[in-house]
Amino acid sequence: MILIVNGEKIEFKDEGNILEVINSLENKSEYFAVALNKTFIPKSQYLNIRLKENDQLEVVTPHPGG
Amino acid sequence: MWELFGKKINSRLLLGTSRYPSLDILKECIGESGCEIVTVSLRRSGNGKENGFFKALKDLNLNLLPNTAGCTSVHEAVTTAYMARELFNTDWVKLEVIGDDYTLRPDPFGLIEAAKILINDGFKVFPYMTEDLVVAERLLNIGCKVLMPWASPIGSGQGITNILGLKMMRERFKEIPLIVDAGIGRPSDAALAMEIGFDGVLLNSAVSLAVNPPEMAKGFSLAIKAGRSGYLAGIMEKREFASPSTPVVGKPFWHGNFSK
Repeated sequence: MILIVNGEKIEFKDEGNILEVINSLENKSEYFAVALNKTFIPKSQYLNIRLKENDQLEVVTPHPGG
Repeated sequence: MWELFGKKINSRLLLGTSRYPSLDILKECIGESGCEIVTVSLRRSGNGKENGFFKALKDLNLNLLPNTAGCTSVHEAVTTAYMARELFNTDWVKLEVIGDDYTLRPDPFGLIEAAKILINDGFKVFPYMTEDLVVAERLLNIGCKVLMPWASPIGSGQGITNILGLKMMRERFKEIPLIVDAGIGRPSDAALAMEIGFDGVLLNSAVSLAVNPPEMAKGFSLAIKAGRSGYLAGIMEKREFASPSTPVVGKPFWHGNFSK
């Protein structure tokens, strides 16, 4: 399954829910929030949503800002 | 002491956390400035350094004001605000909807639309805007409780380029907390904003890009306090003539005329 994670195509062997996909990523952050196909997904939904081919996942973390 | 959304705040300086030489220098600047509110952002996962950044801010027990920096559409800004609310555990958001890439001028139409969506969902919106009175009025009408006009374009260090516009905002919206956000370059810019009655100043690059950021943070803290005192004290009117400050009466050698 190909997913677009933070703008990059990544191939995953197995299908999975949001949490499973995030756990399999390199450079994981302790703190993060997620948007799927440009829609915010609250943490409470991570286990309920299974990702599909070509889904776009944004995983964002706290950064400095002005 | 002033209040923002029911929170009592001592410092009138709000500090951005971006572009500091190091995390330690950022922490030192926060300490020197005495600020209690700092702005933060959301970005795609990086190299893990963000964990240290966030933990450091949490340890300092500051009020976090997440921004939607760089968002150019209502949808982007709203989605970013939702992610920020969960991640930073706050309903405060510095709402930026950028309308022009070159000047980073806010898009007033997108700003109002996004603010309306977020306010209806319980957000406390700090809108990054220009000094446009009509936009200000609309934002207040949809439920904004604070306004944040720019002094000049973000990161430009140009200072206040439209002092008349900011004075008119202060005059028109007497009861609304007004914070100058963006474009401040030097402590005297911040002092001027406070002298004309603004409630606070939000700045970032002026400190982070200074040769000695902690010293500059201290300078801004003092300037903002000085400007506030000047406003509260009531500044004298300018005159077009001289008026001796030392009494003339009793001056030695006084003859009542200027003949030598």
